[in-house]
Amino acid sequence: MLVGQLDAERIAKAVEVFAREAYGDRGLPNDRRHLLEIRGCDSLARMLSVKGVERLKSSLANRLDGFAVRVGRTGYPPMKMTILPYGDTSDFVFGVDTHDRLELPPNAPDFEEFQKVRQFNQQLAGRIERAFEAAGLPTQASMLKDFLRRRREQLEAAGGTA
Amino acid sequence: MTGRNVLIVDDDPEIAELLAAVLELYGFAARTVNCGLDGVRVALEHRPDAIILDLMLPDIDGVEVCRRLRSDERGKDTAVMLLTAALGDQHRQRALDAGVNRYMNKPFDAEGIVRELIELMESTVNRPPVPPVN
Repeated sequence: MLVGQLDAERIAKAVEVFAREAYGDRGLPNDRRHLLEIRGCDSLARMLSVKGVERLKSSLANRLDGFAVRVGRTGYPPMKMTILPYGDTSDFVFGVDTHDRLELPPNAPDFEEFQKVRQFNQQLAGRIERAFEAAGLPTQASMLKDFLRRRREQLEAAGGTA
Repeated sequence: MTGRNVLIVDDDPEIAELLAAVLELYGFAARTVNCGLDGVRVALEHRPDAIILDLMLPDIDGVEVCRRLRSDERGKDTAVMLLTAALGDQHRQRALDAGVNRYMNKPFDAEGIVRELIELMESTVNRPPVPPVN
């Protein structure tokens, strides 16, 4: 057990899924291949020692910390995979931090170009999260779908509404 | 909370629709839009009881949406919950200054957001229920 219900194998699998979307069939570039060392980590401390893995400290006392893995994408290395606590539960979900929140005024010379980068990043993030889900990895969307399915089953069994 | 209208503003259409489905299971009437400018327009036009607003939007961000709502008589009393993936609190003060009533981290769990929404509406909504908008 490494991060909540997620073990090192699943985190490494998520890195590979992310990399396939972000870099194509060739997967992780050479300077990021060390991220797959996560697979062999037997403790949180060891995972955090892998270059490119970081802890995201929560500012809320009752909330668990999250984690980020700097997988990057072709042409935009700062993009990250996130492993975040799911609400107030002990579950974690995979996601993408596009790492492109920059306050640029609309009259800045690079504004239009940066908007294109952000738009591309957002689209890629959506593809990556759908790929996580298809690979059986928990995401915000998959958890909501699971909740809806369970809740509807309960309501049907009870023959009523919430 | 049956029949209370909630506007969801999130640039991820799938998450917005899933959240709307969750809220509808609890008796809310939910409407979704996927950008900030649409959020302002729809909120002022339909006057929902509450707005669940993502911070990160493709045009203007959630805080700016809230600021624009608060500057209009039709949006000044609407309950606003801001969702953000940011774990830190760097946006918190900016959000509160803009008139955000509640702040919640993403990813959120379904029951948690319903609980927060009910608390928010009980504490801020004074208007009588209005018919659902569809």
